[in-house]
Amino acid sequence: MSRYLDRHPSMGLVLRIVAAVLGGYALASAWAVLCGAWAPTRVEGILAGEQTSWLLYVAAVIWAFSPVAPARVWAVLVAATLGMLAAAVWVAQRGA
Amino acid sequence: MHKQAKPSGAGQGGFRQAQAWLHTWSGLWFSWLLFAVFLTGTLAVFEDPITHWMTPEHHAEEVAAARAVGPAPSGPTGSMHQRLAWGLAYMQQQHPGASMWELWPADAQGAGELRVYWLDAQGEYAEAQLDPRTGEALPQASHPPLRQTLGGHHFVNFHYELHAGQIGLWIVGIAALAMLVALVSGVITHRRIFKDFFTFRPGKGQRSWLDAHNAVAVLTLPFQLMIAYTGIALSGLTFMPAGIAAYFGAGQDGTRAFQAALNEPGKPVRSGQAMDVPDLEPLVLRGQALMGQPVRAVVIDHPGDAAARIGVYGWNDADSVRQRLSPTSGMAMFSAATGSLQQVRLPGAVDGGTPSLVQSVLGGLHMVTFGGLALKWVYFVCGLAGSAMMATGAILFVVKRRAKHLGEFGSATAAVYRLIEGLNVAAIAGLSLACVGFLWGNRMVPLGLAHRGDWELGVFFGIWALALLHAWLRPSPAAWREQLAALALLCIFLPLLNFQTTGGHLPAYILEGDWESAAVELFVLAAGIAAVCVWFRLRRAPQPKPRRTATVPDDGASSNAMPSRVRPEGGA
Repeated sequence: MSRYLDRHPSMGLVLRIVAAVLGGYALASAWAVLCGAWAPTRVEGILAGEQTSWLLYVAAVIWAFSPVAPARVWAVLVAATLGMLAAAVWVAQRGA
Repeated sequence: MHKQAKPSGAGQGGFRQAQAWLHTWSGLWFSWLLFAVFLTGTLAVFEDPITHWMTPEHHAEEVAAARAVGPAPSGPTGSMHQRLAWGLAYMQQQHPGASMWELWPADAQGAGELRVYWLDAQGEYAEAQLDPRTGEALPQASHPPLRQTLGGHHFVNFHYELHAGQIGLWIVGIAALAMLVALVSGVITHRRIFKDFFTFRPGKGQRSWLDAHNAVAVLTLPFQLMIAYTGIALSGLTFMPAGIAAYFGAGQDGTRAFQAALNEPGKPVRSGQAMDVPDLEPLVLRGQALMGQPVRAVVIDHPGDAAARIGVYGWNDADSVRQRLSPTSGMAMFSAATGSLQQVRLPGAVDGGTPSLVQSVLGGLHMVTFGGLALKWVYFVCGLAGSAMMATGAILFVVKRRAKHLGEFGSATAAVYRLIEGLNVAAIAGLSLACVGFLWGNRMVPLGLAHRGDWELGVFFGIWALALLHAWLRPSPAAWREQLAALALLCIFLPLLNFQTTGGHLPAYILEGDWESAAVELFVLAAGIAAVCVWFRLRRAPQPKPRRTATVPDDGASSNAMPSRVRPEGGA
């Protein structure tokens, strides 16, 4: 993949932009879902998760454009999103 | 070492260089929209005075209302007891089947208008006004006012949804997030940010633009971060619905279920047993004592049912609102059947725990509901500084590339630069022109025209579209000069137009103590004088030299890209 990106640098930019915009949004959404599972009162957790998710989103965008290989950006964002969703399912089931 | 060719692009060079790239491009592509959102949002701080200036026919009524202290001149109005009974009787006769009744019996002094609201069969909010002297329903105003106008609300609506509903809301939300990204990456880029702030080198072209950009940004950075974040968070559940969708279901039904669970967890369900709504006055008196506020509204859920509940809401007085970040009023909730107290909320508190309180405070922070007039002016000045930050940033981009062609867009670079220059003129000068043009439209669109408010809006968007066309047709320095000249003329002659069309003028406003109208005209005049000053400077400024293509790639720190001896950061 890195060889392909060396020959097509603009594809690297596209990958970064998509990772930042959609990957960051997915990460922030997963955080909001996790907060809903976590909090003692579900509605309060959802609201608090939404309020704080923006910090995560901005941080993800900043990081996606830092000198890190696009493949790594994608891997970390996907792993963190899936990890948070799995944790949300686990917490929600344990609580139910 | 700065002369050395460094890679510049997304995710290349050091962390700081990479952030400089992000700052340049996220800032540039959103600067035009953000400037528009910021300038109109700044004007929206003074929505009420602008509406006041735009509805001169109301001035006389307002003056009369201010003089009439106590009962209205045409006879005594009903007591609180009578007002509540009239409101209840009207609802029982006219809307017995509604799922919610809401009575607004009086103002905080127990006088003024008597209004009733209800949820109709479609779940829509409906309202009627009753005569506070007799309790009879007043006829609906059958024809709109002659000078029908959006007033200052135009700026409020435009700055958060561009008059385009949900689509506009999303566009502005995306721009606000881009602004947060540009702010954070900008701070990372400017290592010596506070030193930069004390550096201003006027009359030095590119350096002066950079210094000005840094100064306004650093000075108001906390405000800019706050206003962008609270702006997103105000509609945050719309933009980030995942939490609601996961637990309450997607779409409108999920949102409704979530709001019900958050705001009215104890709302009873209809029992099916009929029961008349009890006398409201004893509950209102108890509610007023519990929350320590005069009654503003009495809300009856499931009226006519045995499970009905009655909420008494209070009027916030101006002093306490000035001192409280959370703008909610007091509330006391009673069971209609037993009269027992179910819940009390003190003024400023919220139902739904800390996150709800945070949400209320975020709203208060964004819309400056606290702090009074002084803080409104602070917001106004910070908002203008934010607009200047976007404008100087966008101009800096062009000024830098006027001296040195950076070839970012390959063979299309010159055409894209031209496009960007035109967008700069239209977004900065053109939007300002459209804003004052909106006020001209208010005085020039014929009175009584059908959909007159839309015509005024048409003037706003029409002028803006013409400005964009003009900016692309004319060479950019000429476009700047001509649009600034037009801006200056429209601003300076607005008071004359006002005198010509309504007879109102600045000295009279000041003598009458009508400071709202006076302040609108004084600010427009000041903006006009500022436009004249900039116009003079542009006329004297030397013509920009033709571009040369850079042989050395940009050194990466894009917004600081200049020979090392004049770089504010010096050697790294």
